[in-house]
Amino acid sequence: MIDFLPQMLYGTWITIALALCSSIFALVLSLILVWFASSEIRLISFLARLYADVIRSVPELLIIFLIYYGSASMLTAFYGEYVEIGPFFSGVIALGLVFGAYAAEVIRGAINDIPRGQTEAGLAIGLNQVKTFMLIILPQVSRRALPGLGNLWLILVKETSLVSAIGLEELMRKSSIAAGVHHDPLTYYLVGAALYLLITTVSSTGLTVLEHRVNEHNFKGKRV
Amino acid sequence: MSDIWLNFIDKLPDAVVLTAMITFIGFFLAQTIALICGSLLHVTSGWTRRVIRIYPFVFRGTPLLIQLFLFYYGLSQIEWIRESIIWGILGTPVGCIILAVSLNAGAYSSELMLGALQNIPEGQREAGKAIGLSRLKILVLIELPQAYRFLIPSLSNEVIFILKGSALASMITLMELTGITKTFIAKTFSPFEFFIAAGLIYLLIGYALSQGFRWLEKKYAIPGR
Repeated sequence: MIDFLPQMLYGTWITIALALCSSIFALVLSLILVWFASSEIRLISFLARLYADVIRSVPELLIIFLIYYGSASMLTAFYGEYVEIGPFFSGVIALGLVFGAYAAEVIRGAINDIPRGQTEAGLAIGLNQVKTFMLIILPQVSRRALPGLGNLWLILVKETSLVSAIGLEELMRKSSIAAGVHHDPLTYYLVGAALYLLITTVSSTGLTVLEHRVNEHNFKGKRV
Repeated sequence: MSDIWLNFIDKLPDAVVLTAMITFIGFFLAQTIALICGSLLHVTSGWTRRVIRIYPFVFRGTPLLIQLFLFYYGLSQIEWIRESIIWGILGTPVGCIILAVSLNAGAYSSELMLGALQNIPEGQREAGKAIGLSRLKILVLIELPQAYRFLIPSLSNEVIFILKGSALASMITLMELTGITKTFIAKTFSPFEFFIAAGLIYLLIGYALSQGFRWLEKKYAIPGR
């Protein structure tokens, strides 16, 4: 049992790194999607909404397989020999694509909460579209979107386990390997599950504290 | 059309039926668990409640995949389970995936059910008590019918969550929709065609299910609200 613990902890680190990288990619993608969805050009806003609808009902596992095998087949066709981008990077892209769509929904809801007058005020004092969004809307959106995004983070941490299906040696895969070597799946999957539970519990405690902080600041601001 | 596509189309109906079966049974069991666990959380307090709370805490805090592997590979190590009658179900991959998705989704739905029950104004419980109804009757006659109306819109999300969860069955050798898609992608090394085919089928099932729940929502809406 003890001999596999360093491996399991290393797997935990890969899981956290994968979740962090995917969430950064997802956030960038979600901002682009929100921007596209609010586009004046009908086709672009339609495509952004279609993307969200499609992602919503297609299993993540299938998308992970698509990115992993799909990128390999495209790159192989391009270079003429077998090339792949590796399971970690495939996982980041696949999970980023999925959670970008979910995060876009959360952020769009938060933006809709902010009165339209603020955008107009920003434009009126001579800021351009991008600056109005970055300086006026986004700081307020980040506060409102925090609970929703925090929830998505917790789901994302658990979904990273699916990347083990394409061979990434994160916590899930390490548990499987340890279980196989010792012929004791019950113990090793329980240890793996406990480590996941630790990540999600620490995350959700951290998120609660963060939300509290942000709202406290907000409250003080209102009282002044 | 090439042979490989004919072969794919030949295997498709069984795969779709398996996906649909896991989704439906999983959803039904998850809702049963949610009804029981959500109601229990609602009516209990103190230590009993804290003990029941462990279930959603553990199942919501860990990945579905590790739960599935625990059931599929781990349960066989426990002798009394292996010798009991339920082994006929738990010993099979289908039984394991259904158990895993229903316990997992049931944990999420329990919390939703609890939220819906607590959303009902306190006055209604008091009114029920005042006319002499027992706690069980208040729950069944007053609280649950309202909670379910409140829950219908979120049920379509729940069932799609289970539909996506059913894809994990491919990890324990089951040849459902994701399973055969993966096999054909690996066999032909042309991922896009098969992915698009499978994705469209998932979309279609998801769309049909959410339309069904929209219909239910309209049918059981309280008029004039």
